[in-house]
Amino acid sequence: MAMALSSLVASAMLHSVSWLVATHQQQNARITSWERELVVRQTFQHVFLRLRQGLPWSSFDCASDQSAQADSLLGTAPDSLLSVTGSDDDSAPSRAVRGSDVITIRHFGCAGYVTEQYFVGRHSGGKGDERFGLYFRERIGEERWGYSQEIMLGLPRITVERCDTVCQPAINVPGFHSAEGLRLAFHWHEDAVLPFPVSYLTLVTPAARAISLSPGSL
Amino acid sequence: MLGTKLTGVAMLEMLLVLTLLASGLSAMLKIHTHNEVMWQRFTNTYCAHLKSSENTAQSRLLDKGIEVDWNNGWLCQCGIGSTPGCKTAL
Repeated sequence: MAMALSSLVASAMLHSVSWLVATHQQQNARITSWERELVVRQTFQHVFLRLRQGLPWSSFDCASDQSAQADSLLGTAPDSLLSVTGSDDDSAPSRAVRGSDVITIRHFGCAGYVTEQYFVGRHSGGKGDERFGLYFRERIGEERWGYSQEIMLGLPRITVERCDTVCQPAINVPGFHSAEGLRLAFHWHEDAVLPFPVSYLTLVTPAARAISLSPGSL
Repeated sequence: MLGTKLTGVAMLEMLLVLTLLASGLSAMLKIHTHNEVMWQRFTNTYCAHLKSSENTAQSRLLDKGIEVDWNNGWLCQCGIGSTPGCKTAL
């Protein structure tokens, strides 16, 4: 009798401990996902602001914790948790992208160049059901394009770079002064605990034109 | 006499075990409910923030005369309250 009771208590305690661990991990995963979502959102808002002002993306200091956080989010493909990517629709009309400007999003980690993604913007001259926006190219030179929800209005060319060690901080990013807005889609690689598998961010430039600032002023 | 005493001890042990199990289950239920309530509250706040910022950005684009025809459905399952572009209010 006593043995049976002891084993019952021991089993119950064991199960409660494993339940507590699982609950803790679940809650932790939820909070971490939201934090990442927020960090990415804020990062691109910051990037957008800097690019609008003709500055390169150099918002991270390699020695800081923030840089490590950004690296874990944006660097080291294919293990990175995030990519700016297109949808699974590969039947995007090639006519829409012919002759368009290539938009390159480059990720530089603190150790240097990490990854590069190519986008092509459709200009307003498109016809039919071709939608205005960006098309994601899977590989350079490849003829497969996926329409993505990203939209970049009036923007001929953009290079988003993390300039920790590679870029010169004083180099201007050309072409961004004409941008009216930006819409980015973040596809999460890991199993999402968020209520949506893809996050979207719409950024709009203010009505007044941005004033060029010196790199040190931000 | 000895048998009655042993039965009494066994009953007490069982009572103790049952109390332990009941309090453990109650604590687990409380933790679970607290987690879910906090998560729901946090989700609703964040979703409201996302909806508000998306709505603001899109209306600013419309003010510029730019047509917005993209997918707004990604926020349909996010939080409570109606979302533009969703078929039914959540």
